[in-house]
Amino acid sequence: MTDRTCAGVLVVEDDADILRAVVQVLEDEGYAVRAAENGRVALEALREPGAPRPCVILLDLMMPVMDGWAFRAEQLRDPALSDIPVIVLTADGAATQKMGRMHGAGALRKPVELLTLLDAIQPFVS
Amino acid sequence: MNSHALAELVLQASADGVVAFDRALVCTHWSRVMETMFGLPAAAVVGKPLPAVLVSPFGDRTPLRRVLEGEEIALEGCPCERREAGPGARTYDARYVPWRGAGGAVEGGVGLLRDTSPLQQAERRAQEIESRFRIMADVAPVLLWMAGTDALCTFFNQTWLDFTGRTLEQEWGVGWAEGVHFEDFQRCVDTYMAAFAERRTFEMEYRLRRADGQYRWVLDRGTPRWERDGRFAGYIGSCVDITDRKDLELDLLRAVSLRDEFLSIASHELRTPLTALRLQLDSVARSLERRPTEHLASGKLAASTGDARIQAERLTLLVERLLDISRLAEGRLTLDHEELDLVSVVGAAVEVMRAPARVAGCELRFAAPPALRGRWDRLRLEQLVTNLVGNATKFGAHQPVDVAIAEDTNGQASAARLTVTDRGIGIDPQDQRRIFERFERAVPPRNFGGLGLGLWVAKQIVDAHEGTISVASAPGEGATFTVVLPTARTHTSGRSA
Repeated sequence: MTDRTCAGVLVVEDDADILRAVVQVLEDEGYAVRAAENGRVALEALREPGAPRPCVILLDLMMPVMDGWAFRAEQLRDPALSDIPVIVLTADGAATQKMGRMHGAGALRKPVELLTLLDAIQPFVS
Repeated sequence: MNSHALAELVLQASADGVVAFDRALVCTHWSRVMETMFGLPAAAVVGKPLPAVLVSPFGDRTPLRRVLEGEEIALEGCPCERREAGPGARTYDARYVPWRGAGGAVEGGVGLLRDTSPLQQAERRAQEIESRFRIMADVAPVLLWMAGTDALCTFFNQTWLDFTGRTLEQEWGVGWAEGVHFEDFQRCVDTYMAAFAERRTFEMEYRLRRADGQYRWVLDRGTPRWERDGRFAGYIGSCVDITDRKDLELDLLRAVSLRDEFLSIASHELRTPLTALRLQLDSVARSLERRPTEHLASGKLAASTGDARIQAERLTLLVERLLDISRLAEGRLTLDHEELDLVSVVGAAVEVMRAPARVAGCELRFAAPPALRGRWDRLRLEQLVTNLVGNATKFGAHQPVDVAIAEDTNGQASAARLTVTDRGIGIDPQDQRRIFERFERAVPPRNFGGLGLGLWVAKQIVDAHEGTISVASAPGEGATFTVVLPTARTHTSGRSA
């Protein structure tokens, strides 16, 4: 799968204020950012024909319609999407343990410092 | 066999003591049983006046003299003891008959004595113990039972029988187990039999059917009984009704778990605006550090500050809501009644909710008569509408939400009816009552944010207005919340909670 090219970050977050803030700070850093308000919308965006493949997905867990766990399960089942690294961004205190169960690339706890967020994303984005 | 030999044989075989005396009350015969009974050999008594050897009845000459006068005397339970030992507690059944010579004249007397004291005492003691035990057992506020060495129950006190409403015959043996809840039965029998086999004390909790058919939790403690010689005699046990304690324990556990859930949700809710705020502030600091002039000139600083202020306001609102909830929970809800038009108050609240409803993809529709006047608390009514409409758009996203006001014609007193109808996920009938309780929600928190307190707060507001709130819903078919508010207060107190 390494031959596939990727670009930017997909942010999956249901809270409009957080979504706007994250998109803004990442764009300020020069990343191409796409946003999705829940897991269902994110999957649709990923499967859209000709859509750019994100280098990393920043995923909230507690969301309506399709939450982060359901999204991750669905993503892992889809061979075209399963190897896109996922970083969980959650208010949950047990985020790191939960991340382990979800086979993700990392976990960040809300509220997150900007530098911590950038450091987590940087290794995945070209 | 001549009559003399026969008499000797009878005397020897008799279990009763035999004593004979002459007209001078001098002992002429003292049988072996008498020797054992009084611990005196015949040699020590024969030839001596009986009153010198024994106290009553021989100490009292009167009955003996009456025998000499030809009377037969029977005495029951009369005390008699060796004189040297003093009067004791031993008692005898005695029978005295005159002994007549060949001429028919009374020449002396014969007495037959049966020692009844050891038997009597033991019997009396046993009776006393038994009676004391039964009285204690029957007045005890606990359920008592006893089992024999075969594990079968042989005794239940009156408290037990009153509790189960069954007879001793029904409870006898293993009959009592019929009252044990089937879910607890096997565990109960296993515990009992295991303890029984090892002769150890046991403790078990199970549900026992009360006379009214209700199952009550009892704590049953059984302990083995032993005879004086160390032989196993069975078990004795007692049960106390611990249902209230159990209910309380469950309530407490539930309250603690609800509180924990609330804290976790509150913490999540607080972290959300904090996350945006933190990122915005970090971003401003980073920009100022890297490109200060450009950042200040671009007007981005003003935009970021505005965004940060929104998050600060969101936090303030959340904290206020939490404080309000704590006030409501303490019953400190004070209403500020004023003459109002419900239609304009609800209409204004609906207008405020239009923008957030649009974000959720909900069209808000409002239907009401021109005006409906009454005395209510304006701010609390606004809060009520905000909570109900907020809920409707959250659980009924992308579908229209209807808010309607009508005069309520069902009750006798004048009242207003407010309904909020969504077309969302609906509420399972079994969840419909508890959604009005504190920290309750019918759906897992991970799917829908919020403190889970909107409906509880709504109910507190409605209760304080002496109104009612109810829901009609089915899964997948949306929900209609109906609030009925009296237009005038029935109580005059300025405070209501």
